[in-house]
Amino acid sequence: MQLPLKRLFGPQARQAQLAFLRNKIDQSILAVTAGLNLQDVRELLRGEEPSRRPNPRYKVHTNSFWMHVRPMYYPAQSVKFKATFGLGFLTAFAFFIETVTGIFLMVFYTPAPGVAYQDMVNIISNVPFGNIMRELHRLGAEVMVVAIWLHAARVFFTGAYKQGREFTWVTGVILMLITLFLSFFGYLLPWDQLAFWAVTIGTSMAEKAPIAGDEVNLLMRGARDIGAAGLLRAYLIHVFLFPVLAFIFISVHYYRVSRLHGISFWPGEDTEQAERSAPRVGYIPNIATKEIVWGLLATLALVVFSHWFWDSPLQAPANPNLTPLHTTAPWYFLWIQGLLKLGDPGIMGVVLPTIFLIMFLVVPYVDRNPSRNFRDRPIAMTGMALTAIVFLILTYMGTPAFAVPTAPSIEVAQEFMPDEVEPGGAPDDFETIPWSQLAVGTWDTHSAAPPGRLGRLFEHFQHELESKRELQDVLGVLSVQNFGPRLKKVHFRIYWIAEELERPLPPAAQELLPSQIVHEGQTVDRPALYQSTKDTIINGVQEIGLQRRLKDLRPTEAEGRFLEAKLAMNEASLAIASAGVAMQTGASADVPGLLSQARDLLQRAKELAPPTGGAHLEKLEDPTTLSSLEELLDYLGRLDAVDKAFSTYDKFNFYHQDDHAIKAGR
Amino acid sequence: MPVSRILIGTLLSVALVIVLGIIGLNERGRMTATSAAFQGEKIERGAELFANNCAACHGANAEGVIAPCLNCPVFFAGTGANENDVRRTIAGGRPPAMPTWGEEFGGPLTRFQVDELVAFLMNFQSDPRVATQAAEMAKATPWPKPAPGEPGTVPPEYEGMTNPFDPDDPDVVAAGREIFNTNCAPCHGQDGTGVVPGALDLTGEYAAGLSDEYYFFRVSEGLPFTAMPPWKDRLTEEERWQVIGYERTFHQGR
Repeated sequence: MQLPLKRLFGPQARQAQLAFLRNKIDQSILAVTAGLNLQDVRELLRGEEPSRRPNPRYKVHTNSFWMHVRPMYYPAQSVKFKATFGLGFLTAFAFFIETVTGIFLMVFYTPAPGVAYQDMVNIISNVPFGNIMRELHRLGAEVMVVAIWLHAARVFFTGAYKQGREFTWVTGVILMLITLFLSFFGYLLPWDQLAFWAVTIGTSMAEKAPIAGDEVNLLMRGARDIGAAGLLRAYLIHVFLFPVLAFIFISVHYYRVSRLHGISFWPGEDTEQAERSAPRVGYIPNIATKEIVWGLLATLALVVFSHWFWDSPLQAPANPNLTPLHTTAPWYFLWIQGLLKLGDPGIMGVVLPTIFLIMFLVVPYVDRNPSRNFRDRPIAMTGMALTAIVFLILTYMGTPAFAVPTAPSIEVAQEFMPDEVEPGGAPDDFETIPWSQLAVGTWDTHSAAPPGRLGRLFEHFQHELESKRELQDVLGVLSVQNFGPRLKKVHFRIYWIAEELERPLPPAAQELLPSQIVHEGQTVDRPALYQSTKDTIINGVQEIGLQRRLKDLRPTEAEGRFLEAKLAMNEASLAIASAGVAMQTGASADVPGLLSQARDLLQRAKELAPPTGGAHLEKLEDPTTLSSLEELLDYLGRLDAVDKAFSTYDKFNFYHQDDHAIKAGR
Repeated sequence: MPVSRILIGTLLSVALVIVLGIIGLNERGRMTATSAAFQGEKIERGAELFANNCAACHGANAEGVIAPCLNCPVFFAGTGANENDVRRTIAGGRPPAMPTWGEEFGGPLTRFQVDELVAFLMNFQSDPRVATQAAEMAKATPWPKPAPGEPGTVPPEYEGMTNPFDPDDPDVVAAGREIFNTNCAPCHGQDGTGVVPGALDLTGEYAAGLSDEYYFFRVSEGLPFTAMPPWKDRLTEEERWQVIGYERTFHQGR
């Protein structure tokens, strides 16, 4: 029997088999690409024009669901970088990044006050890639806010909201609002101090609305203050309500751009002639590859930047009872906070922003100037430029740097405290000092600085203190002490003399008190007894505090002199008060003896006190010359004022070794 | 044009994978370090809370002033403090002097803050001095608690001691009750069942099985590494026997 070898392996058979195979591959590729066959794909990859007609690359757009969203081709002028600066794409890309990282974070997060913070700690310290996801999410949100503002600016300045694009502008403004609120409600979710207080400030702005402010606030917070209900609401708004709204409005916005009127050309290039004869750039392959490359580049940049150059710190857990020194709204709402400092909160916080918003929305319907050329639109251009500058100024005014009175001593100490690190901010000097260089000891600004890195920080501290004019004869003390295993206590103490003397109790307050009171069965004139007993008690308490300070704090020499001067003043005023009580009640006490004792103590205080303090004391006459009770009380009041001018402020913090190692290693 | 873009795109993808790879390789170390950093921050915040809320009674360095020492070996060793006990005590307070601190009991501190205080206090445990001192103390105590059912052994000076009072005498019982309620009830409870963790249930069979001499020895000398102090300096011998007489009434089911 002869096998049909020729039929299976002959040249004819080979050809038939190859044709069959090619046909199969062709069909598979056709199915996968929704319209391109093998030949088309080859041409595409080689960068050649399609050889078949009609253009098979356009067919993809009608066949495939995903591709039907995108246009088949763009006019060449609208895909120039100059036409859009890629800002709309960047915003959409940021939204995509937010969605992907957000879904990742949702897996590990529970929106309940007792658990949320622990979940955050877990994401950062226990979930592989958890931290980079969180930082990408946070950075992506900032990028999205910035990109959408820039996108709006580009559209405005190139007049791209004209010629049938009016409503697209409106959807864009709505998308901007959605972006801000998405970011704002996401702010609360970490449930740390930063989150809690930024959102408290933000929602309290709504409270100032004229008619339904309380109700709106209640609706957002779910209770008088932000708590479990407020967190759950913020979460649902952040992961459901606003993402859905964003999806809807992005769809409308993009549909109008891609199907109705296209991307506008650069002003001046948009003549009818140019639009009709514009060369076409096919989406496949030109724009598609471009988008992939830009997307990859943006992803890479975001990952590198967020991992190595960006820090989204998690502060202490939210504590409704402890307001941080400087609480601010998220930065993109700072301009409202700036407005609030200017006047009535209802008008500044709600009415004006609403007017701004409405003005923004109706821009294309008010501006009927048909030209898009910069030169033809002087009013629109200068108007918007001025608005932008005003917004920048208002944003600056919203920061604590503007019109928030803080005592200079607190400001200086705060600068060296590590608790209030803002996201993206540079870490404090202290955090860069390695644990091993955090030498134990006490130093003051009148003596030598500590060794090494700590010394440099100390000099910075010294410089800051001396730059504050309000602090006369300022003395700064830095003390580092061991406080348990691998834990050190860092203590800043600031001593200065106030330039102006203040009477301790204003006269108006004095008059409110009854003129006579009953004391041990006798009716006694109030001011005398009140003043002397008050002074006695206050000074007694102060004295205990001062003595304890002198003992516990291990003060430096200059610090000790300051405290001892204060102590001597206290003892002097006690002696004078005792003399006063003796005068008033007629008790047998050595009044001249007490007064001369006070004189000696004041002399000692003068010797110990820094120059300005000595000058204050110089203004007081010799107490032994006091003869009447009135004189004596007046003297006590003035002495008390001098005592108050000897001001102190201290703040401490703790450093743990493990904690420090990681911060330094960053 | 697309050809060069394909090249750039490929290079970018490779770069992205490499960057993610580098990040991924360092993740384990980073996570360990971050956990330590969070623990460290917790301890720091606990220290600040301690300085502002607890130092007045427990001392600036937790060395104990009018309230017990919290960084002493005795606080941690043996049946001493563990995290849960410390947390419960801070949150719920401890009669008679220690107030409640946890917000769930009406105190001023949030759950996180109580945790931070616990982290700060338990940090003292890692002090090598605490460990060595505790070991030395264990060696210096040759009279451990007896196993259940055993009467217990005592030092020679306590051997053969018996209660000089008649335990059925109502006067003795009344005197013992007063001493007990003032000195022992804060830990052992007015009914003797024990209200704080670690306090012996005086009504149980274990206590019933102890001999008079062991009972007297333990009350006099206290139990090292625990909150049970030696009472021989605070109560006279008669008072100690009276209180033992009263405690024996728990065993009789009265």
